[in-house]
Amino acid sequence: MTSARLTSTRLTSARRLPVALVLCVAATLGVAGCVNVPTGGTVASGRPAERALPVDDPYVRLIAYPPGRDWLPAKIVQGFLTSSAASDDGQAVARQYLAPGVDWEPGPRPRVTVYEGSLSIGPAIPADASRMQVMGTRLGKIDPDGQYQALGGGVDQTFQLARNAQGQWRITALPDALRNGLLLGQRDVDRAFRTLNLYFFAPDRTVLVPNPIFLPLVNRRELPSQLVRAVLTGPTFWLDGAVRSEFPSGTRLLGDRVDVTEGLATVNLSNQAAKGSLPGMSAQLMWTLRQLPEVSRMRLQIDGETVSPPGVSSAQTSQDWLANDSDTTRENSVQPVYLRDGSGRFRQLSGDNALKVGATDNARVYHPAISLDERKVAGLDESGETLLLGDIGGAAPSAVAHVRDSKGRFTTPTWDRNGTLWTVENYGSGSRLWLKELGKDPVRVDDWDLHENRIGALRVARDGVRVAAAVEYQGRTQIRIGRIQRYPGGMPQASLFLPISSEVVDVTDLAWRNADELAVLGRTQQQPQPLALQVPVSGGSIQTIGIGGGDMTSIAAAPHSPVLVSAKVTEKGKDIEKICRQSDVRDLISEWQCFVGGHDPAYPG
Amino acid sequence: MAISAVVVVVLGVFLMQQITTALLDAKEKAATQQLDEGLSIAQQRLSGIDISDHDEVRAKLDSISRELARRSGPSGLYQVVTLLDPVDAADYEFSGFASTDVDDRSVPNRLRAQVEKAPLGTRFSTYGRLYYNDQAAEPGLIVGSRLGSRFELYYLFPLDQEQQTLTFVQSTLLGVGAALVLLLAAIASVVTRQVVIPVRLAAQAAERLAAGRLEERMKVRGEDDLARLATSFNDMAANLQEKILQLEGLSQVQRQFVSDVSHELRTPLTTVRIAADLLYEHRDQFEPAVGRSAELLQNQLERFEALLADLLEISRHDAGAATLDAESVDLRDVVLRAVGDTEGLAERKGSRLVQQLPGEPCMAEVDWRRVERILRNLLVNAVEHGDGEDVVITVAADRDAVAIAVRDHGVGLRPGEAQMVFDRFWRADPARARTTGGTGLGLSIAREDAQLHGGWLQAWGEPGMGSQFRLSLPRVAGAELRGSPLPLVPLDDRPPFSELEQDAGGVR
Repeated sequence: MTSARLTSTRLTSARRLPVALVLCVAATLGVAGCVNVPTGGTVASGRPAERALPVDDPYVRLIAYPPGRDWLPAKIVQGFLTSSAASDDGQAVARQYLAPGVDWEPGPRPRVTVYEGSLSIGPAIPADASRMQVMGTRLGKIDPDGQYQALGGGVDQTFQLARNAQGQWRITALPDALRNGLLLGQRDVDRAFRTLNLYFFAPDRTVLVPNPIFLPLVNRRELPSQLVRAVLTGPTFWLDGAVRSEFPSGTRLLGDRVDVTEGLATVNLSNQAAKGSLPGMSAQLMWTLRQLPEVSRMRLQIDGETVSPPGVSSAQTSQDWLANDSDTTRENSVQPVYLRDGSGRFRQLSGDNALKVGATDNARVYHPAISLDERKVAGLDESGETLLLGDIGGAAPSAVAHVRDSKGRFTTPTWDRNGTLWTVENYGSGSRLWLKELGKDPVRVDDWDLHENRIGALRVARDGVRVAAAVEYQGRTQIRIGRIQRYPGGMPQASLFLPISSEVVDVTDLAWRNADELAVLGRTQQQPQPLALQVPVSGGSIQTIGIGGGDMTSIAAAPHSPVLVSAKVTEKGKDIEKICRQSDVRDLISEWQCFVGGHDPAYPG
Repeated sequence: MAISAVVVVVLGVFLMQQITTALLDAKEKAATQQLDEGLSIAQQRLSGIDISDHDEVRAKLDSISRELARRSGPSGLYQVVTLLDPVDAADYEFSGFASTDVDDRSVPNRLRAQVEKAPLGTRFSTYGRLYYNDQAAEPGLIVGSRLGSRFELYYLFPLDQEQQTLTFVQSTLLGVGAALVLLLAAIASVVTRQVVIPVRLAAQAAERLAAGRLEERMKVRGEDDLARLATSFNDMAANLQEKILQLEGLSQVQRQFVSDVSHELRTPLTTVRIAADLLYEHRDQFEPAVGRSAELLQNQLERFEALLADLLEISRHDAGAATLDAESVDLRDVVLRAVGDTEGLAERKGSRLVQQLPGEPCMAEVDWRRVERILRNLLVNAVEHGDGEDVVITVAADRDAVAIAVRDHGVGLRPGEAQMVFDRFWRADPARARTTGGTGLGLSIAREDAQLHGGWLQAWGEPGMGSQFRLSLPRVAGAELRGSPLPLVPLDDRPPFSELEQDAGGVR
């Protein structure tokens, strides 16, 4: 009996053991399955990456080195100049190179002299170690308001040095130019400054105009406050007078800094702002701050009280102020294209076909320019000596002006948002400006700012305040941006043309792609082949547009529309002129597709 | 609960350590690979550099730092710091480049010291704090290596993501641990309810059963081991109760039987007695042999009567029917009467009854008939076993108790017999015929009587030394007896002064 029971017990446990084992293994596998990284599953989608802004580039800063023992005067000066490039620690290290009592306050927005290459340092008078002369090539300067100006010439500064009580050389007097400024190399500026736009209103208070400035990088979290303070200060001297700021004078930013939490920036202004226009101030601030990827919404406060413009929630977005974009005139649709067909007749492009436009069927309009309201067309005759003007769909354009100089030739005309027609007559080594205001006779300006230069192309921006020009200067053609000032009752004046990029040379044609970028035909210093280029007005990096294409002669661009070029293409052994556009509008470097024969494509503007 | 909490805490700490180690190991691996990539890029860029041209060195290092920093992406996965060793830093008038807002303090000196001494290509890593110009320091992983002969390249990885993960894991573990402890407590309480409480109830039931409450039973619930225990317990209790009741009934029947037999024997005995008395009175008229038989018959009848009386008496005691009829008497009178009753027998045996009575009365609340019977029993016993020697009766009293000792100088008692003398029908020598009066129940009845008073009846004896019986009684009926005024062991063999010595020395 006992043995029988034992056997049965053993049998039972033998039957149970595998079950327990299976359970154990299953549990282990189950737990392991929970821990494992998934190797399958549904496809998750993410939002498209937003445009990477140069603001977001990780930046690098110099770690300064304090003066060493028994350094010679030249080394002290070199050390001082090097350390002053490390701007983010309040120049504490650079100050160690100065003797006590030397007044040197670069401040948060210093005046910077930019030199090219390297500097040579030596005694001003041989054998006199107490006066060190610094020599180099000047490239330009940055004003305290952030405006960069290219300036040629040389750097020649003299530093006074003396030995201190410990017998160490220290700088006792700075040259005047450095009293409240810095002397930095191009590379230092590249490293320690960022280019950002401030936004101000065009005189008609409808659209916003960017005002690029150089801001020293203190640190990333200070950037919103720096921007707001800069926009409150007003435009740089370049746009001063050409644009309006809606902030009443004396408006200050209250608090330590602009608080940015979860995309919401809170800007607290002093009570002077109560007198200003709320929508105007909001639009300016929102447009300025939206350059920072961390800001998506903004709350405006005046003296701590949250205010919101009528019809806009207290947390404003940049969408609320899209109406102030000079690029949204046609509600983001693709703009109509006009061109000159193979036989020189004025045509409008519909799809891939060139169609007749009204009665101007047989009119030959070279280098056409269409007004922004698409009512008028301006152009030149074949020789470029006569300016033609007519109504679209009306009679053939008639001559309104003829070149003054016998060798003079007009550039492609351009329209601004007020209906003024601009063109430049090049003659000999100089140029003169022609203006035709709405309903008035054309006017010639002989002594405009660029009268000493020949102008390759002139295009007024859609905001009507800025004007881009391809300026022949010292044997090369460079891009300059000028500003247009309007006085009540007087004529518009284009002045203060500043070069924006030293990389592009030999510009043949240009067009405003949008408020921030130009489409340019030209060569870069690295690329001898003429190319279509996208050049940011702020001076950022240049990108090539499209691949292939032939010998391009003119370029047209408009917001939300593909860039068009006319190029000579070899087809069936013959060189013919064709209009080309990109195969993929969103892809900047997609191939050029030449789809219709013709010349001089033009968008309104 | 406390133990489970400790176990959970220990497990949690262990788990945290494992996770932390795994996380940091992975980070370190990735960091080292990043450093390797950075080193190869930087070395490529540095090839052919003119180290005597300060501007070129600065520009080169600047562009390398910028490129490496750009690879970190906008999320700021890591920071890059390129440093010159201190001698070169003095030579080139700058210390190096750092990406974003990281402070060069973040590269700890202990790491720099290692990197500077190490041969080219050796990588070092350490944990430290990353300092920033615009925000609070945070923990970080710093890897570094020498770059060329003059430069050092460091990658600084903020560990805030890891810190977040660890914090998350930790809070999860805390929650799970707390839940686990609560669960264990709940399980413990359920187990207590299921097991410990029934066991406690069983113990209580067993205690009550042991205390004599035979009707005690356990509740049977379910079919588990505890239910089986309860069933067994109940069976055992039922059996026990049955057996005890059975035995009680049996002894009751026996006692009744003895009592009935005694009563039933009385009537015929009376008749026999009358006949025997008649024969005895006329024995002179018979032949001498028949007369002798009549005398013998008379003798044995008397013994039979005494035996019957004693049997009845003891059955009364057994049945608990004996009652105490206490009244205050002078024990000296009782002793005198008992001595008077026994003097005849003593004279026949040639013994003298010596009385040592106190001068003052010895009053006590006793049933004097029972006491007298006890004394008679003791005296008869002493005379019978006294071998003709003197029998000494001592009476003494103290505040609470009175005592009467009866001393003989006969054969005495062997060791162990002092207890057995009180057994029913016990004989010192079973071979010896019972010639003299005793029924064999006298001492048993005497002891029952003494116990009925709440008193003691004790015996002492040594072979050849005689024996002594001592009766101790409380002065007040029902009071508890704590001690006796007389010693159990007699002192009479020693000189009078030895008593003093014994009292003083406490040694016998």
